[in-house]
Amino acid sequence: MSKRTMTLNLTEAEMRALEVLSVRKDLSKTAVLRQALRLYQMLDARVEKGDKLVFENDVTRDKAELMLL
Amino acid sequence: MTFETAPRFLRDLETGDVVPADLVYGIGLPHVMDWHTAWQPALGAIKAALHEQGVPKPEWPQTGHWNWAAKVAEAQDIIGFRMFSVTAAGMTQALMRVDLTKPARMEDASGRPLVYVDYLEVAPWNQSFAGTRKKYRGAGPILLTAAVELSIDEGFKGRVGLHSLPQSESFYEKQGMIDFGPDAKVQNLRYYEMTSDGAQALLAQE
Repeated sequence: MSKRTMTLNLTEAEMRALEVLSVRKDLSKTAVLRQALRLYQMLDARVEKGDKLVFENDVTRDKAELMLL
Repeated sequence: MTFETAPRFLRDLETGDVVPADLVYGIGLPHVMDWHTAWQPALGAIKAALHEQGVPKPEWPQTGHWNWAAKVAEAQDIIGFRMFSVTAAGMTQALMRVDLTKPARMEDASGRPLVYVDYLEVAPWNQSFAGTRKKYRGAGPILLTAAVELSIDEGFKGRVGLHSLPQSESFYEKQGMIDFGPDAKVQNLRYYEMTSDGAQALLAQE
């Protein structure tokens, strides 16, 4: 699959977050960003269809709806 | 739309011959048409034969209700999904859709991404029911290997996960996948995962 290249400008905090995720998920920074885009697009498509995005705590069963902007 | 392809091989179980096949990196209209015009009638004939033989319904094909036209439409333009097909002898022999947004469950990789096999189906004539003989062998392994290769390409270290229909459990176990047991959240289907080591072993067999 052919790929395109782009330059990405991040703040220090954004870069730190990317580095932390890169370590935690055992992925390259590029792979983290590609994964983030996949998730964002998939969630956006579901919300567009009328689905809700809800987090549920396995222990307390508390639920919180996340608004996707 | 034209998809990239890679050469693969199937085994014709009637003649014993090796048959050239293509792994196609997508599912297009021709594949969906094959599913509709060839797979569906073949499946109908198998069900009729099983009914006539008095075979209990749990032993009938468990993918009979899968609608590939709908599955392909749902995945259209969503980059978290990837689709694959296997073709040989001018016919679609197997189809697979995977999801790249699911996390692994294996303890040492928990929460890290894997390639989740949403659906994998081989053509009805490549399955065996109540003593019927398969036409071609190898389409399922080609697709599972494609999932492993994709996982490595994406930096997921070969991790692959899936929920298996009961009829396919032994296949995934033979491929070296770890059984996590029934998943109450997914119709009690057993969840299987391929570790990075399992992935390397699978690729070494190819």
